[in-house]
Amino acid sequence: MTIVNENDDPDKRTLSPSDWFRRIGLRFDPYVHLEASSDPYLSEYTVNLEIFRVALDNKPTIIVAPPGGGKTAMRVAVTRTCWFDIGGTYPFPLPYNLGMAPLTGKPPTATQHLHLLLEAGTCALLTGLAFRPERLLRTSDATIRATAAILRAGLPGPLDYYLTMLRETGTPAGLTPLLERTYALTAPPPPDVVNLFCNALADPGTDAMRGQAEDVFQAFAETVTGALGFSHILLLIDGIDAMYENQADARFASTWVFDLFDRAEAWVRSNTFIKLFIPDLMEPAVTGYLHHYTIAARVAHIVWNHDLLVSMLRKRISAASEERFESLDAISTPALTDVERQIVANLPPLPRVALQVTRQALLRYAARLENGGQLDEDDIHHAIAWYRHHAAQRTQPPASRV
Amino acid sequence: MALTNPPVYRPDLFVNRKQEIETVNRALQNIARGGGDAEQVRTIVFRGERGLGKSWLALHLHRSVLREEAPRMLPDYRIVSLFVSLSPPPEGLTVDEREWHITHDDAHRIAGEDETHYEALLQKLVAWVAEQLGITRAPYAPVRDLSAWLAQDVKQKLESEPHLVICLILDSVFETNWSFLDQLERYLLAAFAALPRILIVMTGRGRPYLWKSPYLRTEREEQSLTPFSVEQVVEQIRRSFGNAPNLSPAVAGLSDEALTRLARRVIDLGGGYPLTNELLASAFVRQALDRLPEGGSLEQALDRETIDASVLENVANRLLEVVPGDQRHSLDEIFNALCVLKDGFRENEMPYLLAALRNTQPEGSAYTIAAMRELRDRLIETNLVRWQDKRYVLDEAVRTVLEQYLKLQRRDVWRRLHACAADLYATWAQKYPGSRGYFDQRAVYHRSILGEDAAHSDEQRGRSL
Repeated sequence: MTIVNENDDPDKRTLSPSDWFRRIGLRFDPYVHLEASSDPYLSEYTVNLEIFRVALDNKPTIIVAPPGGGKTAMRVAVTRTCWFDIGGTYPFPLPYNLGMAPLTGKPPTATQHLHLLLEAGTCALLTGLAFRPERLLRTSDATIRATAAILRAGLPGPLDYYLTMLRETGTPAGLTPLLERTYALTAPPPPDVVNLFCNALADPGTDAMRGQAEDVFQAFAETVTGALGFSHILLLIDGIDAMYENQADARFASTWVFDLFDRAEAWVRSNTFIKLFIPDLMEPAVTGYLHHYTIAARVAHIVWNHDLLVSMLRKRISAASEERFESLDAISTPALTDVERQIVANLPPLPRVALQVTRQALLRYAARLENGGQLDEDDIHHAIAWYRHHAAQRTQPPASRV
Repeated sequence: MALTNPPVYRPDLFVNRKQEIETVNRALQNIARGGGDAEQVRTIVFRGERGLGKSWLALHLHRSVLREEAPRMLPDYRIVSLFVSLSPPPEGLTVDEREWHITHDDAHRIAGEDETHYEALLQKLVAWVAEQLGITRAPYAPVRDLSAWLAQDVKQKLESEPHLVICLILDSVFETNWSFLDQLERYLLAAFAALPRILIVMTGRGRPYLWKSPYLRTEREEQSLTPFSVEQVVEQIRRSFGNAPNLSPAVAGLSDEALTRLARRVIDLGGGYPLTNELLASAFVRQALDRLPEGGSLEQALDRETIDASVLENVANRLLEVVPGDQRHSLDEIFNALCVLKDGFRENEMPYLLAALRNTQPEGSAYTIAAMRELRDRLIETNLVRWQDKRYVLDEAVRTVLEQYLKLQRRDVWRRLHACAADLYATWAQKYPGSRGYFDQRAVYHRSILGEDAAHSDEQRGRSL
């Protein structure tokens, strides 16, 4: 174990996670991933299952949460869940990150949206199929050719380039950072099946599908929900608050999605459903627009309260310990019970904050693991004090130059 | 005294579980008639301790309820039930139609985490499921291909046959190695859970597995099976005695009152768990018959009979036979040490109770928190210990018998353990004022157990004088 103590500040310590978490009975650090797309275990500890179902179903929906309230985590969990099995009837997750739109300072036009959606959709489809080639290989030659044509029309680079890369590496893992980061799927196929998949798609007689973006997207939707067997398409739209120009003005930010909602009803007919993830500040502008133009969409809120936060922290410890224990109580002194509740009771109800503080408490405890001992009240108090100290620093006005 | 083997499942021996059967029937009706209702229950999980009759319930659902009751309830529907057991069949059980039981060899390889074997086994299972549903394509294809085909073929079958309802029953799920369950979900369950008109019923003991599919997590109902009441134990032993080979005709003539008295004593000793009920009732009767003088009354003999410690020891051994052989001996001690903690425990109690059992002080490397955590993990691996509501609990069926055995055979040790627990909790009540109420309550409980025992001993001593 590598432990460097620096002024007894847990924030400054460097620990080897593979060592100390294993020693308290965990197979991974359950509180380390504040950025959902990098968390390989995310779908194991999803709470808020009602919202999860809403995010998966076949109805246009706006999902509202405060910043740090778990929107991205929900989107990533939905994506990975849909591809968990090999070839079933789950929805097709199409992650559309508005933060990746060209930096023009203006909202994309309807046509630009379609181009971007097609690009995002084909990136997701190629990556997903590379992890689950059996889904494509079970279809007819005509479907395989149609899929190749759509991929050639939508991908940001030549299909053959990605297929060559796949062949050379023998694994689809290399496509994920290149095409769609949330598609960090598990259980890749063996290299010989990857090769078969590449051969099937690389038919030299297949050109890129021609036509308007709208027609190509329609063909994409029909193939995905038809021969490829997905029940429907989820347009998982996120990242609207990630752009600098949108952060100051919620009304302006909302205009980035109005054009998308104008197509919502037509998309429903193609089994394609908008799932828009927005920060709570944008809700009035977006719902006002929908109301004004009588566009049907349900609004769901990710609401964090102390009970749900406790449940989230426990679900994580439960997954990390392979259900050996469901609470940090299990490794605490007799004096300490309801550890998670003691933590969240003193914090704002945001998952990111609860994760950070819980991890601080564990880091402090881990620093004295070698001497035996258990998680104690001091660890909790220090972690909460650590958070308050940092929160206070963030809210302090800059020092005057006078 | 050696125990007789409990009978294998037969529909005429099955008692109780009306509520559980009703749950399945209700879910089936909703699935058949309910369309795409998001609130539908499409997965039912029956959980329970060792010997609580989970496998009997699963078999009864498959062989009786879904074949006979359910078709009467849904006459317009074709109900296809598939039974998959992840534990090998008990000796004497005849494998019936649409039943797949894992073999001893496969179970052994899964328990040994032989991951290279998982795909081959799941290939066989997925091919079997396809065959049962009449949608076989290429039975020797790799499991990934079979799985991809199965999902779409079952979907098409359900679309082409709108009055088909499929029920997939999985027995002994949570006891199975979790890395195997990950693949079972990936290749079979996740796809089935997303399809309409499929009901999944699972049984399991110990830590519940965290499924990835939201359909297995949200559209589900979970029920804990409960031990039998006196009336149910009477019915259980009446049916069992009626079908037991080589039992004296006098047993069949036992009155309702005699059976009720016997059932009460069985519950006092074993807690009302069906497997324990069967073993204890049978042992009581055989012991009484062995000692019965010619022409004597079996009912009177039964009332006089006290159970031999060896019988309890054998029952405990039978319950603990799910613990791998190489672990049994080393875990016996900690099971005994913890069996007096009816309310559960955390790692904090473990060194004190273990030391009390050994009649020593909890000092040295054998009693460190690290050593206790290692021991705790081994206990959890047996699926006879699980985290429940802020504490670890021993499987209650096992705990009850172990404590009764300890009390009967090693009374001094049993008293020492209760005294240790009483002192420990009293000390903690003083030391940790935030939890004083809880610790005081535990201390009072252990003192009251010791007090009752002392009073009982005095009473017996008085009688003998």
